[in-house]
Amino acid sequence: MTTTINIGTKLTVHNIKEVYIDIVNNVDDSDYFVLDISDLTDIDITGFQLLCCLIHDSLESKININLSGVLTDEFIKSINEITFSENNLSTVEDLIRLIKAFF
Amino acid sequence: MNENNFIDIFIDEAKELLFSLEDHLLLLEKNINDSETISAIFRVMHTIKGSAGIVGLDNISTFTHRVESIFELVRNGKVKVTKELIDFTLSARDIILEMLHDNDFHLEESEEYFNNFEQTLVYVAENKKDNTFKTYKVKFIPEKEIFFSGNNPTNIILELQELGDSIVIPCYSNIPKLTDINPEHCYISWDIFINTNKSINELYDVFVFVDGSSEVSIEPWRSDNIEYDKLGEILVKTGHIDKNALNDALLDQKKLGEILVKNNNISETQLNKALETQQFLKNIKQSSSPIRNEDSIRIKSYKLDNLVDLVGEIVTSYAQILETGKETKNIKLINQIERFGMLTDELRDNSMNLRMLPIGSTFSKFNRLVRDLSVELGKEITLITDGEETELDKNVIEQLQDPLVHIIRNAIDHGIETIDERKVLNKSNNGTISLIAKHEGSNVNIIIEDDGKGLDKEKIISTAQSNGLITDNFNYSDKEIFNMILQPGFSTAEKITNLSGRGVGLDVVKKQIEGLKGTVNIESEMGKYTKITLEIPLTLAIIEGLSVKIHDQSYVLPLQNVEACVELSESRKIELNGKNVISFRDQLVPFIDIRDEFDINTPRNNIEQIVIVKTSSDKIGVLVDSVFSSTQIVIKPLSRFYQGLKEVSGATIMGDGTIALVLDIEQLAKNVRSRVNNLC
Repeated sequence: MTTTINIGTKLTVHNIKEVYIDIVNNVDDSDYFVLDISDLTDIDITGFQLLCCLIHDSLESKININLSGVLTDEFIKSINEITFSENNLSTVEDLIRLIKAFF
Repeated sequence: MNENNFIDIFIDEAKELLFSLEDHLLLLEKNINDSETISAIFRVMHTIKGSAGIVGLDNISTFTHRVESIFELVRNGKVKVTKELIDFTLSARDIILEMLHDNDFHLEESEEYFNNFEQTLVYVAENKKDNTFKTYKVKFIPEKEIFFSGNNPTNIILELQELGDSIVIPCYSNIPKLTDINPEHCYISWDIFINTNKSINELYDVFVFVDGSSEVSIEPWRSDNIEYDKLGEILVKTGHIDKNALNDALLDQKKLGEILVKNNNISETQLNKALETQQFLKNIKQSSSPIRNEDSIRIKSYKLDNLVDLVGEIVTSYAQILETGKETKNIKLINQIERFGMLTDELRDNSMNLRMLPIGSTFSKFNRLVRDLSVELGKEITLITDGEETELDKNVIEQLQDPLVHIIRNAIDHGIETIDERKVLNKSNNGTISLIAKHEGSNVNIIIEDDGKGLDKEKIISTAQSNGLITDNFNYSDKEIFNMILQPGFSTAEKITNLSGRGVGLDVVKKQIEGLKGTVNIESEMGKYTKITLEIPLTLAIIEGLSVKIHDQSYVLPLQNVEACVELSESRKIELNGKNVISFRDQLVPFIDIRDEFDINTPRNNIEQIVIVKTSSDKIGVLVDSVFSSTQIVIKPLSRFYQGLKEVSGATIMGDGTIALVLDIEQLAKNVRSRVNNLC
């Protein structure tokens, strides 16, 4: 079963716990899990850590997960701020490649 | 090695350090914000202080410590670089130099001087804004629950970045698996390199609201600290790759970054980021790395002199062995001797090179002279130097010091006009003295030129007449007129200053330069410039000589002075009718007969030779029996018993083992001139 979750506009320390629990529960219940980040405009270190964690686990085949959607300008700006780097992100594949490179 | 040996070594090193300190201080005066120069000055003080303490020269150590302390304040941005500070430190530097000879020199007086000066520094410090940039490495590992305290590490780092030029290296390697993560915790840490003029405390202030369980360390980043200098290490540290990936990539022996991108270990963006980090640190390192001396060893100069003497003996022995070998007509032996000769030549060249030093070390000493004297005379003078890398024999360099001081003092005192005078003449307020060294054949020319008032030819002639140096109204050439100022007792200065104008100086310069087998040439244009050129032979010890003979005695003339050889036949002698003057290239050239000069009474050859040589002012001929060959000779000084023999500057041993006297061209020329004058 494929489960898709739209993460909403915000992934910060203020809602991270709820999102995390939602993800963990759906991952356990799904064969394939997709996280839609199309509406995400506000992300902080906790949100970025969570994305890193998901991509890392999927790389090691611990979970079957993918990111989808179109990156908003606000999201790209936040990622650049968090990483203190101009990452030239434009697609979700770029984001995945960026995070994969950390591990 | 005993204690005195250590002290001697310390004194040698300290002198060098003090000369470099003087250079650094003068540089700092031109660019008061140069943090590297400030650091260099501090390092010199620190080294002298430490070394003096080690060898037990406690007064020097204590004194230098106080100067060092002041420069520590400067280095930390607490004290502003001012002219007073430079003056004070230059004076302190002079005191340390004196103390090297007398450890107790002026210690009590300097105490009061220090106290007064330090009071001034406090005043400066209170009004000082920091302007010294330093690089710090900031390590920030937030406590996991940092978000609960309302802090956001990103904002803290952004605030830190506002304090200077920085690069941030996040480390993601501690982010756990999905099952292990506490999403509200912080797992990322950061290394930040920041180049800033803020103090370390101001950097810490950024983290003032961070809880004590977070780890914040800030330390000055030293340029020799290369822990992040390598790309692979940066990527391992930041968690982009592990050590295995790094090692695999290194084994491929390709560009590491390309391999890692190809292996999908990192993205191109990450590679670029790492390269950017590497470049940032390299730039800091390059801009802050101290000037490194070339690998060198310190040798007492007398050991070099001994070596050159021994090589001179080998050169002489080789010439003798070759002569003997040729007599045997044994081709194999002669070939071997010639091979030995080639090695001897190489050995000679290499050992002579050991004594060659760049003249820049002497030039740099004049910056201080010009600075101090121009201030004393209320003039604005810039010293421009060029050709500092030009090498000369160390003995020559040592003996050039005093003549150059004389000439530069004269240029400052009499050459360059006062600011008011220059304004009237539509010249810039700032006068210029150029000090240039350059190779010219087997000589080095040292040119000292000022853009001052130039030489007044009429005044020179009038002074020469009133001083009895000339008695006629002969139409003298410019060169002859300018050469008059090199005569003893000559001075056109109307006002005697404590710098120059006592009529002592330029004649001494001439004598000293001639002592180096060199010459002094003067050019000048009234109101525009004076240019003094010192032509100095590269080395004094081994020269190319032309060997000549009178009867069975050899003499040597320096080949660089020789212009031509002219036969003097019986018939021509009759034409000359006892007058020692010949026509050479449409010029009448007086010649000196060495037989007459040295009272040699052996029979003359039917055909004799006149060697035409150029001197500092004109040409003369030297009459000898025969001209033998040109050869490299090692000049040995004459013993003190022969010091009165002015026409001979030294002796050498020829290939056949005989001793040849080296003729002093300048002295012979003087003898010729005085005879010509007597005839007139």
